Amino acid sequence: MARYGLGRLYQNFHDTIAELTNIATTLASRQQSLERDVHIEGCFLRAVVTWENFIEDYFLRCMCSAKTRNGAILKPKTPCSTNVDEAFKRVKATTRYREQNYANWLAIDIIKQLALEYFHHRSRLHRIYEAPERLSALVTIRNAIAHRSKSAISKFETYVIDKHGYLSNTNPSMAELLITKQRVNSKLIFVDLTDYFVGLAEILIK
Amino acid sequence: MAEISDGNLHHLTGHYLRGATESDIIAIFSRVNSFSLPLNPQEKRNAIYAGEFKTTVYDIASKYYTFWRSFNILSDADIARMKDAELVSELFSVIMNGLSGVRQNILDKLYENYDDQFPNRVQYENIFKQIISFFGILFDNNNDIKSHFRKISWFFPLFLVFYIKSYGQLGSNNLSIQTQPNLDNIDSRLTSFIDNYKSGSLTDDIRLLFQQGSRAPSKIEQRLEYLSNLLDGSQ
Repeated sequence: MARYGLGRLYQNFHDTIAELTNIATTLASRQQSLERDVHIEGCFLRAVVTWENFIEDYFLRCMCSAKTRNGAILKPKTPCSTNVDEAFKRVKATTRYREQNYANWLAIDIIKQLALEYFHHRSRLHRIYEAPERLSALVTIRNAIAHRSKSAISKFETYVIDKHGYLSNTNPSMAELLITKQRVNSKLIFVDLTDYFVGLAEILIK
Repeated sequence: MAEISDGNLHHLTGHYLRGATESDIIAIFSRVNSFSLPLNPQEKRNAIYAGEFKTTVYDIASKYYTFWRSFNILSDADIARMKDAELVSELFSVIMNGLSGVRQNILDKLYENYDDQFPNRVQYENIFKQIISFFGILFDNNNDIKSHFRKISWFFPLFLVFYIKSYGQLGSNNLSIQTQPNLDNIDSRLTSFIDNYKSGSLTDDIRLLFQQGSRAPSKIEQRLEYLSNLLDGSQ
């Protein structure tokens, strides 16, 4: 029998992201202001943290054995951990962050290392790192918002130029970049990224 | 190592493109797949040089892949033949040297001179970013402007007019923006020019100048002068 369920974990993740996306989309139609931009950027940072929390909880539960919404049991190829705290200790001992109290769930190398170490190569957990460019975009944008370094902003601008063709404003705020529409599907950059991660979460727990 | 139908084991090399954008991937594959055609001058420059100027030009050309394709300025076949890099090189060369900069020998010299160091890389990237934004905004707001000025023979002189209006004269080495052009005015003046072009109310000389699309420096200069006067309101 599985120790943990995954349905509620997904639902909480889904609901939070839906709310954040809704706030950002509503704000996107408003006149540009510092207040508007701070809220949009805050929504994005919160979305990144929500994904990190989801993926950590998901991975640790699977380390102990967890039941998907369809009733499948996900468990490691190594012996199951007895609870998520023990699973976390094992994860921490595996990664290069042994001295720290966290694992970086946005680092592709680490996620891949952990998935290979603990799960069968055909396990759905390997899908977490199947789109490295999406994870990389998440980190780039988070860094641009949080650190405002020239290099991070330039990478974010390049990402937007790739998606939209050009910058609509030559000195854009991070919020303006986040609410730029992608040319291929007219989605906001913000929404396109959150949609991807909600879709991935759905695959992981179905 | 992989077993192919002959029963022998063969070494296959694989490359993993981490974090590559769609434009990076298309650029790589289109260039790999066009290996059997004779090299054009830009492809020769690509083969000869590997330094700072070349890297800057190719980075910018590839960064704006979505722009080239979305507005139909260049086709995938053009990009496979490095027309994007050629266009960026020519624009930079003309900004630095004036209109003679489109000549192949001057372009070659540019690649050679700035192979070790291209000190104004960031400024040129910013100029390009700025002017492409003007184009993007105009193109997205006005379909007529897009369908005419997407043609290289129209795009090229307008890019240079934007440079002159925002930064200063060609060849003057002004790399910081002096004035922001008024895009609303530009939009209405270009629209009325296109209306006149379509209705046949331009003089034959001017109509032919824009219709023929010659890349000779003297023709580019005439188009540039006409568009510059047009945007000043004196045409």
